[in-house]
Amino acid sequence: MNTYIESGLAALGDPTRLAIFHQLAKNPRAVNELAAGLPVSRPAVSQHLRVLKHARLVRDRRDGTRRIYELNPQGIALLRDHFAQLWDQSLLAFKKFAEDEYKKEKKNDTRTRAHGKRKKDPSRGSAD
Amino acid sequence: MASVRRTLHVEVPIEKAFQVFTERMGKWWPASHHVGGAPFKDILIDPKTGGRWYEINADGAECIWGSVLAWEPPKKVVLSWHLQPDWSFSADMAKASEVALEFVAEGAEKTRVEFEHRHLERHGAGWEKMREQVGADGGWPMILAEYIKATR
Repeated sequence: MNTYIESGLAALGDPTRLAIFHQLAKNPRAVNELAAGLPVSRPAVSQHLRVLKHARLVRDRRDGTRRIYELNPQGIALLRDHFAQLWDQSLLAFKKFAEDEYKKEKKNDTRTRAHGKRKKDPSRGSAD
Repeated sequence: MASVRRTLHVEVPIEKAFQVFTERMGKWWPASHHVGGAPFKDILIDPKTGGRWYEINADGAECIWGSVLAWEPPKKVVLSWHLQPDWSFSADMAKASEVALEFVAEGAEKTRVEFEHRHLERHGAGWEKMREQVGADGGWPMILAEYIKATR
């Protein structure tokens, strides 16, 4: 996991930040609108928004005199891609492991045949 | 239907491909991706329909990932995938997606693997919402969706 993704997940690990994130997923809002719907103070909401902004999950824009917060599509897309990559990484690791192991087995088979009889693989435990 | 699909070609016989996927997962699964609180010691699949798919943590605890929905060696395995908001896994089928693999022999030492992680939408309405939000067409933001759902 890279640092960016980790900070994104950590940012959502707090219940209040998660609630803010959920609110912003429905509608972009100003700080006071967010604070009105949450059991925390306005300064606390601002602090949580800073963390979400730092993790690139949320961004802000000016609307006249108000500052509106909204989800950062770029950040969300990066986070989403991370999860799609889970299987890319896993399946590639699967392919590599299977092919390496098969190559090793074939080599051992060839060696066994060359000696004309079964030979115990010294790398294996005595349980074999 | 929300899913992630992949096709891969593995230069091993079909039996080997199936065996490595189902019996040796703990050897090749990336160490950074585990669902328990600690890194895993092993990942095991009970080799039968209805069997469990689970991780064994460093402290020896078992953490369920899902179960075996279809077991047809060496051609097919379908597993359920259960993810809960607190990162634990439960047996609730209504919240489970499916990981399906089909193995096709294309030669004595060539196997095509058709992979699909499907029914991702079962992990919550939040997933679809997120999908609209970012215009995605098949990502995998389940954990995010579960976080959102946890707040409802």
